[in-house]
Amino acid sequence: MSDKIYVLDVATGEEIVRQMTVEEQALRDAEIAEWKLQNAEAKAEAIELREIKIAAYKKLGLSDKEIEALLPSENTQPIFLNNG
Amino acid sequence: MAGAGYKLFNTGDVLTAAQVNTYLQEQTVMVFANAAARTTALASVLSEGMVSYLKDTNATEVYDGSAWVGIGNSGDITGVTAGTGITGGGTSGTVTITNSMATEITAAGDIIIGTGSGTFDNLPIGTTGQILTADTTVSPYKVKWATAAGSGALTKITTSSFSNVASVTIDSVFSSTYKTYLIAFDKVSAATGADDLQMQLRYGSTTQTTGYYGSSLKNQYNSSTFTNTGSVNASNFTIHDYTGTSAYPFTGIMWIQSVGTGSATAANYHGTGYENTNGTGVLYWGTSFERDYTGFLLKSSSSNITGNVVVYGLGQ
Repeated sequence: MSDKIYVLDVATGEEIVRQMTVEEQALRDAEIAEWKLQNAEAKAEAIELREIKIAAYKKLGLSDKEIEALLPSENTQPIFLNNG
Repeated sequence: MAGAGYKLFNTGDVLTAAQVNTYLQEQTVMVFANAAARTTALASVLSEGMVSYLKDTNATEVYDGSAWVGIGNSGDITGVTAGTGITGGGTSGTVTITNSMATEITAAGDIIIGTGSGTFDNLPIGTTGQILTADTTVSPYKVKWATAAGSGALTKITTSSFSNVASVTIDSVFSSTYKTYLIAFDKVSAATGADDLQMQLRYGSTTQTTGYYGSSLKNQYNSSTFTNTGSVNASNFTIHDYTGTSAYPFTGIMWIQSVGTGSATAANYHGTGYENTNGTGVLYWGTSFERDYTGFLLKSSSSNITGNVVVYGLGQ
């Protein structure tokens, strides 16, 4: 069964909740797949960048506590995905 | 009986008792001390057309067949004089008086304004949307039709509640009526709490899927580090990177400007996600198109959403 969508037309007051059409559902599924792919890539990139920073700080002789203080708290969830 | 009518008596006629009663006595104005005396006296002869005068009330009455009714006032009005706001009058016959305030009105929407003590004039209607405003510099009316000054008040345009849907489309909500809108996201959650909460603008029945630019400044609750992230020509605008679950839903407000005006659109946003350790604090975004946006679409990045959205217009 397809997902439902909510549509409100403020001018007419018409409020509809209906199943997605086959085309709409296919578009939505593709959109989700694209987002998941990009999200995974962005997350991997963030992790890699963090590891590079940690390695660089270690080369400079910083302690683990000093490195932790310099780096942002671990966050592998990107805020924005540049889908353009 | 009363109503016998008129009879021409000739010389030498001998009047019978019935003729005296019906042609004379019962067709005169009979005088009684009061109504009770009249009732008693006429108990057996009461008939339609009888006329009486009651001394206690000075009332002249006629019997209409079922009741005694007054036959008019005493005629003590000798003239009608027009006062302020009225014209006409007279001292005899049918008298006509005219309300001068009413005749001053010549078109729909006219209103009568006092111009001084006992004087008035017609103030024609203003244009659509104007309000009647006091202005002591306007002579002689002291009032005028004028465009309403901006109240600065928020006007609620719509409230939407949705449950477990892939997307929420709200159309015909933006127009040139307001330059600024406030969108309140109230307890919006996703089936997958870690999903992005995304927004796209709509024009007519079309959803814009490109051209979103923005910047977000966020920090974690357990860190003093702020992270600024940009978005370039994205397919949507990410309101929040963690929609939250129903137990810890997302709440936020967004000011969005210049939609529905054909000019560049921009918004800034302040929000919080209770469950998210990466709450977005301050953020702005806009689009690269100058369109008459009429609505927006809300969705999560991969699952269904539930919650409420309220849209307000900000008066200028």
